[in-house]
Amino acid sequence: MEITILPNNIKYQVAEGTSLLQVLFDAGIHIDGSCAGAGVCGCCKIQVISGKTPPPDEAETGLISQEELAQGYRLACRVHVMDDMRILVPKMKNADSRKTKLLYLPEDFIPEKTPEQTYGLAFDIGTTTVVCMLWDMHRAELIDIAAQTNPQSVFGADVITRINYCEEKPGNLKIMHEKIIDCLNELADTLIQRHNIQRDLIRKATVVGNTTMSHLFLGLSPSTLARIPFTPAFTGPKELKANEIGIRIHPDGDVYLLPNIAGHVGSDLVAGILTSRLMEKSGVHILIDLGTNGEVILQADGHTWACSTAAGPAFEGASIHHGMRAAAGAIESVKIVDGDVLVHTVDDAPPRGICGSGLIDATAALITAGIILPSGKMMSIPAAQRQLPPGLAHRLRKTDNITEFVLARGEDDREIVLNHKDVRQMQLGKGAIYSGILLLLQAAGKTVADIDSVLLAGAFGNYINKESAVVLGLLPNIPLDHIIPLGNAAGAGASIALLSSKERRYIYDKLDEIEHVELADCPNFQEEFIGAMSFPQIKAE
Amino acid sequence: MEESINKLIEAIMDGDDEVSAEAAQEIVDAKADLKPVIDKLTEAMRELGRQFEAMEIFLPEMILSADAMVAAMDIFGPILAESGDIQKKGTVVMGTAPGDMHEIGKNIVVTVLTADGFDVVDLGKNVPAIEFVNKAVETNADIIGVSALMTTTMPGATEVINILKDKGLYGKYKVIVGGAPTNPDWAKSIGADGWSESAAEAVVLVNKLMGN
Repeated sequence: MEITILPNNIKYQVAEGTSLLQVLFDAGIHIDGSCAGAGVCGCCKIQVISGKTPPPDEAETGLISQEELAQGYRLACRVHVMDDMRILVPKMKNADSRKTKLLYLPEDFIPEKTPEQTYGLAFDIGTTTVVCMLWDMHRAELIDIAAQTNPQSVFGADVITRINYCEEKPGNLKIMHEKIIDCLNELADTLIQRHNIQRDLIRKATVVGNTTMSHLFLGLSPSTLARIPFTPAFTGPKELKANEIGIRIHPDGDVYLLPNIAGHVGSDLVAGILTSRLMEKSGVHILIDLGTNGEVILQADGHTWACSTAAGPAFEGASIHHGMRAAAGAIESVKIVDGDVLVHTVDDAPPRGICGSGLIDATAALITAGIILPSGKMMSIPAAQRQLPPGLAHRLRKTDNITEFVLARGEDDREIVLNHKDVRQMQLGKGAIYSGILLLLQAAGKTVADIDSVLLAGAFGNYINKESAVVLGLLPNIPLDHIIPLGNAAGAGASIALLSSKERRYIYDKLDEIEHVELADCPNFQEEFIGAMSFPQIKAE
Repeated sequence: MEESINKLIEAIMDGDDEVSAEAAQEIVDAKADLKPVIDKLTEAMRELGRQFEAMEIFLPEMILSADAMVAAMDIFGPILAESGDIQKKGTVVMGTAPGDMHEIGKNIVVTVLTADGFDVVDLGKNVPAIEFVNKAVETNADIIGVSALMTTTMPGATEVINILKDKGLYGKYKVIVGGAPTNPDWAKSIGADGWSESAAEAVVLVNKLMGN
């Protein structure tokens, strides 16, 4: 049967009974499939323009409004092909373009320029977004950056669902491996064509990513990463020839995969150490990568500890009622001023949902306004009517017995809310990261008061409002100018390793000095985690 | 008397284990009939379950309240056993699936079942499947509970059931399963006897399975 995928008008032949999500995946169309086809996240919503379809199932009627169902909106994961179809896939652009900005190399970095004209590629394989940086190795200049959604996303937003997919049946691991290699080649091709570069002059590439991504890049089974004790199949760096791994640069070119620290502390963090110069700092410094796995590295008086925390997908907008990625229309900042709510959306588009930075802002604003209590409980409606200015009080309501706060109204009067479940998800996420910080500080015999700086790796760190993150208790309460976003620290570190063999060897050698702490094994983990779920009571200025 | 009972219930709802122990001691010292008190505790547990479901309280409050309830049961327990008024309801062997280290949810279930009068043997986290079975045999348990918080560790529950089948013990011990990624269909498909969404529901489920 023929499926026509709009707006790009891609035609694809499929067997009857194939799910539309599978079709989109096979066709290389990027769509979010956060829950890997379980029908619970609602991310893979598409519009059926024509063609017979089975009636919507419970998952769909639960996640899609009657009105939208009438317009042909369906979940791609639930619709199995029974007819020729034309479907419209919503555009996801902008979500990736953010990752192409924000590349800062440290000031003291000295690249090793090649005597003749060559080029190099630095890849940062994120669970969500894959970024490729093209470098002129002769001039040590960044030529351009390209990014695209990780094509593995269709089979789950987080690494555990991807590992699960690899285990489901033989052959799946190979699919995941090929998808990522294809993706790297596509990004390289984009840059090669855009800048008219001779492919054979690209002699070097570096690759960083979390440990699961590194395993999938090599085609190694990540199974051990999904269960105790999370031992990776390899840690050390891998040096390969381009033709061995299938990266289309000079066939004899060198491809360096940076080492990882542990099952859930990957080479992206190792790259972050290069970028931040963390291990050269005196005093107490913390490097944090806020993501589904919030990794934390603590440097204190010449020693280094690392851990990963199960922050969950909340900060990326998944598992949140109106959560979405930072694409056009995502609410990215929220302020309450003079009893009214001011929101700002990506590209100033009409609000469609809320992304990670917006969630942190919204939660912090509601905490400051007293609408969310330190325990995470939301104010009752009678109390709101008594105590809040009318502009806020009427925004608080109950739907299906869950309290929710209306943040904004989008097109067609669709209201974007933050509900009580979302607040609870934020508590789990921030509790995980903050308890990780506390437990590492304890391992080092330090306290929050000893912290000299908090360095934020990852694009997300650049978009969050630091003050909101402190109000939420996601980050420690230290002076805001001691909280420093590093931009895309993983991409910058991959670039550093590309441009300097000295730096590459430095980080290989340093790895042994990092002590990995398994948080679940800390006797007071539960106590700290539970304690860190509450919101701190910070006095408003 | 009424005052001490109210104080006890309030302490449990507030999650204050010191005050709940104090109130429980007052009740014991007054040599009051414990049966109506236990009924009130059960009621309080249901109310906590309702509040949890309605998002009014969350894990921290749930854990504190459950701890406060256990503090009271620690004091009532010996008296109840002595008087023979209320017999132990049964024995439950609980742990998290092999490979899984998430134990907060399991800990809450252990606490609320203990508070409800069950003997609970807590095997902790990352428990080998055979351990569940061995412990159940050793303690002559009624129920085995397996908690899994990752899709990748859910097969551990199936393993427990398979071992029971291999040993001809399937049916002798009822198996209950739970955890965020699990659902009733899955529980049924692996041959488990019960599944519940929350700790409060787990208490209802276990009582039902025990015919209480």
